[in-house]
Amino acid sequence: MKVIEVKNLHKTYDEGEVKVEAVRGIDLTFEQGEFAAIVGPSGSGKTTFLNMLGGLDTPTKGEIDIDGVKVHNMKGSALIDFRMKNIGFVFQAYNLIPVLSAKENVEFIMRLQKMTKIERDTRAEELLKAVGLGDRMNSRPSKLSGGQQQRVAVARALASKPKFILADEPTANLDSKSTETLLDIMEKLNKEENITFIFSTHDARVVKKARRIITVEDGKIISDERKS
Amino acid sequence: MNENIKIAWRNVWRNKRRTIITASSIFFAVFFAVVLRSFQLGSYDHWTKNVIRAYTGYAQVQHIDFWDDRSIENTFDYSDELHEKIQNNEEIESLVPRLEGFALGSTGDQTKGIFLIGTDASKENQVTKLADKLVRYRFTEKNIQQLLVQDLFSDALKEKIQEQKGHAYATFERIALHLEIEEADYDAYKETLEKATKYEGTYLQANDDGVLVASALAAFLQIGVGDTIVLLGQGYQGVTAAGKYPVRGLLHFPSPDLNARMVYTNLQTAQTFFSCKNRISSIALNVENTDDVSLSKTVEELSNSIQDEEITVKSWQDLNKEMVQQIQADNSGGILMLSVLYLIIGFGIFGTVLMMSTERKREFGVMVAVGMQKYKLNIILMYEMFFISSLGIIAGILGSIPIILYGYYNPIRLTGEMAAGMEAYGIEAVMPMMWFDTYILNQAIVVFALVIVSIVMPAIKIAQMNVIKAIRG
Ligand SMILES: Nc1ncnc2c1ncn2[C@@H]1O[C@H](COP(=O)(O)OP(=O)(O)O)[C@@H](O)[C@H]1O
Ligand SMILES: [Mg+2]
Repeated sequence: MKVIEVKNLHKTYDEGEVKVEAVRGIDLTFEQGEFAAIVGPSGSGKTTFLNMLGGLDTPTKGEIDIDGVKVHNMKGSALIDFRMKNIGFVFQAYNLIPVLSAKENVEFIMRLQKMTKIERDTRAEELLKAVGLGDRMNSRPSKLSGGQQQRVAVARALASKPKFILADEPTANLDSKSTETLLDIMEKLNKEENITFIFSTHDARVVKKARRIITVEDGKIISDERKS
Repeated sequence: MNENIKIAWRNVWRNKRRTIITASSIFFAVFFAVVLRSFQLGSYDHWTKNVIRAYTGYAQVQHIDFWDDRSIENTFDYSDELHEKIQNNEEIESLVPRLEGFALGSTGDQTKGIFLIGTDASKENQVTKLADKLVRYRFTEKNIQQLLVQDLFSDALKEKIQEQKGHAYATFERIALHLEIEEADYDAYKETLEKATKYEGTYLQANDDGVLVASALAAFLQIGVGDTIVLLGQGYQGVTAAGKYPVRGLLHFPSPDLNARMVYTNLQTAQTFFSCKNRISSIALNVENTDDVSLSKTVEELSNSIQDEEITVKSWQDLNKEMVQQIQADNSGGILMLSVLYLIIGFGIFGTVLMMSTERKREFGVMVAVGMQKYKLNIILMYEMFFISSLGIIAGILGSIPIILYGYYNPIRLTGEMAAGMEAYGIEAVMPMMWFDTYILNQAIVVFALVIVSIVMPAIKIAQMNVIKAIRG
């Protein structure tokens, strides 16, 4: 089942004197249950592309269709609501709200979605156990390691039952052991729960785990390979 | 608990030092403002109430020219109809008709200009508590000598007693004040002092044909209770006025001016003396609701119902323009000072709000990215500032309560020139603090207003926030 359809996507930054064409005509579709990595050198346009996909940035040209909704036309609070209901995010770092515990961070988005307390409680506990943090539910982010924080972020992204999860270099700040744990968890969730993950990286070990590798250079796709 | 409140509350304690500094600055401002206002408003209240109680009442019905020229010609007919009109106003609590005029007071060798007030003695007492001014203690040469032989008094106290020669007092408290006897020592001296200086005078009875004479005037004329005073003057329309009146008692006025020239009689006695039967120069009024708005409404209603070109109705503000102006000037000075204080505090609050929002840009970015509406960030910020400022406000008000309570029940007693100045105006020389009132609430409102103004700029910044840039940090 097709979740995302991107057509002729462009993004040009035109701030000040220099014009930067960060994304220059990307056409792509993502299916439900994909585990896809966007790879490419630094400055190739990975972040710009993912931001547009997640409705955080508006394309200069082109279309993004998420489950039939034309996201490129959306603005303001409607777009914020769309993100809340449909997209899970894992950022490179500083994902969590510092004054909330791990569990409260996971619950945060479910509160925005107005889930009941019982639903929130059971789901937050379930998800934190799934990312291996069943014993750290009441810890504040400052008491968690970088890897643990990213796992909480994954749990939070999942909590809202999104159509897909976008993760921009989720392992960039992690050591190799934490990177492996996080990737294993994401892979497991993808396989067992059929959760769609789209993540960017330039870490070869992360790329290895992906089942689809989209390579970007100078804002264009230069290869799109699927592993069986 | 509401999620936004929970986040806000925890954020408040994230940087304890800053919260405490900000709350403390608000505490000091509110504390200082409440105490200062309490002093100021308490003093104004004290001054005005004293003036109102001492003489004018809350309002007066007067002959139109009387206030500028207190001549016996500037009087009007006190008809039943007029009395009814005033009495029928529901706001009027009590009214005292007075006839006032100048005369000469004489006792054989000594003669002096006096000011005669003919009044309804019992009503006068209701409005101005005149009976409280009746002299009950007097220091004469004889009773001072009697006191000086007592072992009870220290040398310093004896010296003060000697200085009291010719002084008269209505209460023991005032004797104690002038002899600088502490309240704790009242019991030790009270009986002896009272016994030696006791003075028997009586207040005017109904239909009494006697007079009450101000104590300094009595000392000058060398008369006392049981003696007779001769009054001479010009009556209504040039008739010669003359009469002989028994002295019933002496009055002590804190104002030296009044104390040197006032003579009180019953209204009819004065009307007979001045040959103006049924005429009066003014009616002092006490009203039910004494606040400015109700009072000016009552004054207007009375003017409208009386409808007489000869008669005017004046509020105590009209009758004490100079004092009202002085109070206004003093009050604006106080408000200006507080404005400067609050301006400084306002900048502090603004700085805190700004820091609390800019340092959390990343966090705000993530919250909006995952789906929180921006206005909710402002709500959180608002709660945070509400908590911090409430902390300061509540502490400030709580801190000022004991001071207000103390200052209300134990007003500062002024001494020296300042005290003499106030007493000259007939105002008891104390500075009481104002009881709890809206002025306290006003300080809270000012702080909350500052908070709201301070939040405008961060709110605009949040509205314009670019999520991607915010997350990137
Ligand atoms: N806000 C921006 N303004 C101007 N140029 C930008 C902005 N964001 C990204 N770029 C530029 O766009 C290009 C792509 O950047 P980015 O998408 O961050 O690449 P990647 O994530 O692959 O490192 C880079 O040349 C970068 O400098
Ligand atoms: Mg990037």
